[in-house]
Amino acid sequence: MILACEAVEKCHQTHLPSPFLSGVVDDCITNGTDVTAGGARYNLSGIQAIQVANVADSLAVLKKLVFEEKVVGKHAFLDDLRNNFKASETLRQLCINRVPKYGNDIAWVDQLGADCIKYFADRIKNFKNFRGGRYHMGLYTVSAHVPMGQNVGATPDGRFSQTPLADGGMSPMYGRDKLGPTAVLNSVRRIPSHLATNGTLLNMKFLPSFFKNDSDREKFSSLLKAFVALPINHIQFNVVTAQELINAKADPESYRGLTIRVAGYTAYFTELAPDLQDEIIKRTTHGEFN
Amino acid sequence: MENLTETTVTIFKIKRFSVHDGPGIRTSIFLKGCPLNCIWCHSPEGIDSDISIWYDRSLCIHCSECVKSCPNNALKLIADPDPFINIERNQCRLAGECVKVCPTGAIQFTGSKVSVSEIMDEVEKDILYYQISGGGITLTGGEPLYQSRFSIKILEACKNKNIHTAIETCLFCDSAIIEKIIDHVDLFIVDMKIYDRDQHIMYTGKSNEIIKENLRYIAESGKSILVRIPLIPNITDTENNKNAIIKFVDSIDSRILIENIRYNALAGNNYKRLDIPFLLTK
Repeated sequence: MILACEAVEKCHQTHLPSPFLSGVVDDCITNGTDVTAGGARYNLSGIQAIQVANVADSLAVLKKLVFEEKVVGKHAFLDDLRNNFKASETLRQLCINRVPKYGNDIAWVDQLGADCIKYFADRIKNFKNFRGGRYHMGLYTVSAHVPMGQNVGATPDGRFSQTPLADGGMSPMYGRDKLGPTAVLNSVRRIPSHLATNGTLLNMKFLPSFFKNDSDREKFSSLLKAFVALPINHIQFNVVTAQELINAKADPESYRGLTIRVAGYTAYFTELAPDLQDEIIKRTTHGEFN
Repeated sequence: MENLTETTVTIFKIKRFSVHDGPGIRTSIFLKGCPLNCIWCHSPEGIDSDISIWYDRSLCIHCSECVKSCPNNALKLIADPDPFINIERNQCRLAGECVKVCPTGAIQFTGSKVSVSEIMDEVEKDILYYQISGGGITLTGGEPLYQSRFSIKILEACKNKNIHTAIETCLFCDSAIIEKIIDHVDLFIVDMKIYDRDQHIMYTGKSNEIIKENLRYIAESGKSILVRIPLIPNITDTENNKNAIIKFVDSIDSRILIENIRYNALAGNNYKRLDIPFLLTK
């Protein structure tokens, strides 16, 4: 990964110097050095860790089903993953349903994710970027959880090979957070956001019907105030029904104006790639539970 | 004082971020057992105080693990035309092996016995949200006063932590229970279904005289009350019934708020999962 970052930064330096940007970044002018060549006072490079949820959920499954309950052997499980759970739907369902998941306020599961994030943040401290500066960690995907997912085989959390990873960066895996938004926030707060100086991202989706009267809107505003009181840096919301998105995918002409927060940016839903559209449709929707 | 880790209560759900059962953001605790038998009940799994098994066909992948696991041969995979698991409920001894092996959660117990301190652990997870939103907990069901001895323990434990308490009740209980519980409750959410006594007996199985008495008692104590009328088509939603309830509540105390509750059209699904008939459709 570091080698790849170095190659990219070297390319930027050689082929894409940014004099205009350098003019507005502190110390580049004084140093007489382009930002891509290390002229900036904060000469940092960001590396993102994007699958807290899949890592925490997968480690929780290994801990429970392989090591503690011994429901499946190590080698057999590895074979099942290599085969993309082809002959083992029962095992895949156990992975999904019988082991607690990140996003449900279960301290030990969340801690598995937090430990990995801390390890990642510590590890990148040992490297210098191509310009001689430091690396720092981000926890956001923009939309990389879809293409990155295409490079990742089946995972012990029950996710099929090449399907999207958890969205956002801090978000739970779509559909696996079942206890509502307060449980999600309580899980996310356990991830050490303060180590992610390159930024963090949490997506949440609410139903439009949740905002239909003053009392409900007030409850949403309380949820926002609670978020501010928690050690979480960022949330972005989509307020839309799954049906509306399904309709928009099928009939883009009628929904050209529908904007959606993807992960770090807003886009016209109908202009997104179909697999990213599907991933957004699948995200857990809060607001009305039975 | 009774040990809270040993006092167990039978519940069928704990719902966090509950936003329509009292002020603010709340955690609702659904207790099992109800003295009424309303034919429209939208959580029939809450009526029986005993735990049983339910089967959600939509989650089943027909792996037959449950069939193999049952020590009483109570389960069978019916293959044709649309496969499902048949539960021979007479043969079921609630051994629970099927629940243990089911990979999808299609077969589950309808509830669980938990200690009051386990409930409090769940409740306390969202204290920040209660404080910011003016929320708290709501005991509901079933009928939370059916296991009143345990309800009181939960309410007491919440009051010790300064958590706002609401109770959603049909008020069909001995008035002595109301007397015992009233100091620990900040808000009574009272389901008033039918004003007429005979109609009440016909649709819920019990007379409503005691309900009316209890409502009067609570109102006289000065406690906050919200009356809710569940709107069941052609049964409770008639103008006659609604007006009679409104008039009665007004005669007790005109400051009591009354709210109509839309009927949950999906209620029938839960009956299928329990293999019990849903009388409202007839």
